[in-house]
Amino acid sequence: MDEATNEDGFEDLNGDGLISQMRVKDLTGSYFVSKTDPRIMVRADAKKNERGEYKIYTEGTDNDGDGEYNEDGEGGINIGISFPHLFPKSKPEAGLWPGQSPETYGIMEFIFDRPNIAMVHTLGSSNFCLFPPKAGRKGDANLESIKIPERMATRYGVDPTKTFTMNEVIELMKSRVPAGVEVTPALVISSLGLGAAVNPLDDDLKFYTKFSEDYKKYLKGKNFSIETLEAATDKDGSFELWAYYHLGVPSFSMSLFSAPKVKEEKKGDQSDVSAEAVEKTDKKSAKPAKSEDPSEREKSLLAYSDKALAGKGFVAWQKYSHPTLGEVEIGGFAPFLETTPKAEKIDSLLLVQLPWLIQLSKKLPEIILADQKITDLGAGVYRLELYVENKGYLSYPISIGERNKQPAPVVLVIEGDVEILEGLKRTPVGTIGGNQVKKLEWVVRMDKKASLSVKLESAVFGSVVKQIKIGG
Amino acid sequence: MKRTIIFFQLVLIIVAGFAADKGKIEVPLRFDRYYTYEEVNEALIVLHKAFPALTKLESVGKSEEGREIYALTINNPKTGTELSKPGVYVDGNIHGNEIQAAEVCLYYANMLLTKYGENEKVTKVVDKNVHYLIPVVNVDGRYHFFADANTPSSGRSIRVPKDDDNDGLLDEDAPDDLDGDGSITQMRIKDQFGQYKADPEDKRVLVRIKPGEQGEYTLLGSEGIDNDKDGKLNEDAEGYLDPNRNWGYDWRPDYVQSGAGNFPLSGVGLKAINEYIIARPNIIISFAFHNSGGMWLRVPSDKSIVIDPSDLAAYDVIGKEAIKITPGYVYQPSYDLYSTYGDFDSHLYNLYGAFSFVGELFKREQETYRENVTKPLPVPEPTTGSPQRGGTPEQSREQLKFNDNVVQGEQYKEWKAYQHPVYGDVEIGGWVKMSSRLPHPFMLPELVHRNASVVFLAAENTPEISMEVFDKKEIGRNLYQVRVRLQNKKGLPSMTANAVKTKIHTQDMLKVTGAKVIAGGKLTDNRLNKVTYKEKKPEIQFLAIPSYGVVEYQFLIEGKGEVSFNYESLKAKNATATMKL
Repeated sequence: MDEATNEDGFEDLNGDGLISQMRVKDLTGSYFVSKTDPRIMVRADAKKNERGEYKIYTEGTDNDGDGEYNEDGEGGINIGISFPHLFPKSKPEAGLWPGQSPETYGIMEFIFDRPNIAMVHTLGSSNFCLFPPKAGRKGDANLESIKIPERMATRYGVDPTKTFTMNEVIELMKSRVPAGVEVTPALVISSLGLGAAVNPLDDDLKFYTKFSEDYKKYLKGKNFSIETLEAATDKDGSFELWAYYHLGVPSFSMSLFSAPKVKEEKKGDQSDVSAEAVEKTDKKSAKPAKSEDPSEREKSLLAYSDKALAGKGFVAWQKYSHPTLGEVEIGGFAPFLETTPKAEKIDSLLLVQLPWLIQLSKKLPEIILADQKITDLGAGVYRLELYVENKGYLSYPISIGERNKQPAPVVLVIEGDVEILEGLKRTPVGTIGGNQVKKLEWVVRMDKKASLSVKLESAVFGSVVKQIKIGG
Repeated sequence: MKRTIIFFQLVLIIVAGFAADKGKIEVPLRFDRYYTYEEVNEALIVLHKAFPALTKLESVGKSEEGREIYALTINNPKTGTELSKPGVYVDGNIHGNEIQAAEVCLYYANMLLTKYGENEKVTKVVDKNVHYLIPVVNVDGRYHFFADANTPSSGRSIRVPKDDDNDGLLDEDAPDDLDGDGSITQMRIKDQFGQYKADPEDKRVLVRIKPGEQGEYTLLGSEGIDNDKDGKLNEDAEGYLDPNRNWGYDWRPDYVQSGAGNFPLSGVGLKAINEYIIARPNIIISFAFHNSGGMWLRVPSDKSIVIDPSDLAAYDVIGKEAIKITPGYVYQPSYDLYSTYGDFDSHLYNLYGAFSFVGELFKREQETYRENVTKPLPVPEPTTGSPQRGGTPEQSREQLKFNDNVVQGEQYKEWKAYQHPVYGDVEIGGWVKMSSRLPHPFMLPELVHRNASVVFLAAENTPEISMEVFDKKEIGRNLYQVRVRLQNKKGLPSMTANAVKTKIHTQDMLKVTGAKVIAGGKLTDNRLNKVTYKEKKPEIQFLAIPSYGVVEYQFLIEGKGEVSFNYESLKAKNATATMKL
């Protein structure tokens, strides 16, 4: 931070159209040139008796003369991490608050204005199609082992050190809320301050996992190699996480390209982000990171550059006389080499991968009024049974949507000249699993000739009215 | 801007007739009654017209229902531009029902303007600071609180519809003013199996029966019918988007923080106010007035957030005096009341570097009816789920006697029979809209004055930085060792320690111009000559000047002629010193 804005951005010093790196010999440097491949710079590990000889900078000059290089470039907020779920407030590029940039704010406004949005796709750096959203984050409340805060525990007459299941807490709270207030898990979570969900809910992980396996098979069938460097994991504050956690809808991100991986026996895949994998790597990270020379990623990128790009993915180190650093060398990987395909590849990449999004859309829930039954109980009293069916694969809402109550409810409305003896005129259907049927019941009194109709009302699935005939 | 002026004139014409029966609104403003939304606007207009040189009136933006949100700026242009002075921001009535908050803002403006040039302290504060006042944040809320039937606690929300009962309909079952008296009070029904009976000492008070005792009444809750016939009464009223849970800092979605809204600053009026505040980075202190309970609340709003001790000390400079100016109030972090996310004061402190206070106006305990008011009544036990708030029967009896004999029965609606479409014979009665959280107008003048005096104390304590060159020595050919001292004579630092740490805004700077600075840095001990020289660009030093603090810098300067030292700060007023080499 200083008195100026955007005063120290990058410069393309060697004029090759790319911002790469500068290496400069320095006694206090922490990098040395790899013995296996002199293009690669390796971080020295003192414990292995290695010593650094170079410092590495991004290509550019210290425009503002503050001793730092390219620390204040153009802009700006990185929209990709500026959404409200797990907003990374300590990162300046996320902005001051989620939605500070008009782009982020506008996207959120646009989506909330359209409650019929039932699934979200985004093309970007993570790939929920292949790798389900990351699990294993700390900070999630365990809803089957809830502690009651002391102040409330005294009021409820329970032990604040004991833990309760969600159902037990609901029972406890029922007698304590004003008449008419329905005690739901969501109410429990908010009144006990249990906080936000930070890991995908179990039932949701099931469909993410199943779809990723289906997708792998699909790609295999198309002879599309997924032996590539892993897509980036979901970032805190990303659009795709926000869509899942805050909108409560299935959110699928897709990254269209990643450089191929060099074939090699690999152990412990770092970015295979299943729940178990994250736990494993968490334990692993306690040990010092093993320094490969060069790393698998670097080897893969070099191989890709050499074979597919005729070496153009790597700028060979070249001497350059720098105004303040003196004698330096400029070189290194071309920016975004890993995720930018060759232009002529774009068509084939899209043709194979994009149709999968249509496949996913076909998994959307579809809620219909499947059947009805009316039983004459005598004296003009009838029992009405309605069968609501979800013909789709996914449940409505999915688990996270049930928790955050964001997806619009599906409501059954009893219309006509009837008196409802049991049940409500407007009944929220609640959650219906994929390929499931839910039965709802009413007891009504009506004239035999009176009209009775039922409306299924939903912002997502539209409205359908069905006439019900007595004896029919 | 021209359009705005025309609009104001229109407003003036329209509201002139409206207010006629309650007394003309003129300067000095009177505070023996509450102002409607339109009257607040008119009060702002008359203040602006009476003091055109010291004030600016502008619309910040519009609300959900299209009402204008007005801001009054008080600045003396003769003592500097707005942005050059420490900014004092005061707002109120972010919750629609918490109306006396706007009166505090109006009173404060009235006090500064009418006493300017007469009272020495007031004159000094007006000349030194710029004040930004938004008396009514939730303009729709204030409008509807007056215009519609309400309880003292209803109508907090901004007007963003919400399906509270998850039936696919928005705001379809609000309470109903069955007896048409302009208030939503309570309903009770005779019921020998009920859990309540009339208090033998005052039949209006309902007390819980003891086990085995025969009941007399069941409380049915707020006045109303089951508009949507779902078997629940009054369960989906207007809103609910709590405008004090919709701000950006540490915002959490609705299922975690009730009332949060769909996303940060989704409220259009709030978004406009946020932009207004961003454009005024000189704001160093803010007050947001609410009701009730008698509290001065500071950050943090959540226990897990740690506030820098030097910022807490600065808060204490105001907070520990505030409780003496407003007897009976407490001063505490807002999480002590309850944890909140997305609240306004956290947003201002954490993102814009303002020392932000919430003032919870009015303590109902001031409605006394006894000889010795220093002896408190028994403290009520915390209750939940009871539809009737207000504590012990002793307190209720005293409040009712206060109502009967001090305010001539204006705050309580006597129980009266009513034929309810569902329940049949019921009685309707209880505390009216203008009670409980709102002092009776006769108590308003003292309330507004004392609370405005706390804002005044804070304005007096905004940083005042002076600078001097206190030592100069020639140590070589054309080489001088120069020492500069910056002093803050007031209790608030030149910027928050949190802003220094989190780099949310530009740090204060000391710039040397006119000669070549060879070295320069903070003088940590001027007697032992201990200096930490800055590695690069020694002619620009970054600093912050603590509460009542002194910082010193030493420069090694080469050259001849005049050298200037410029202190530049986003929040405090800039200062300059010059010297000749």
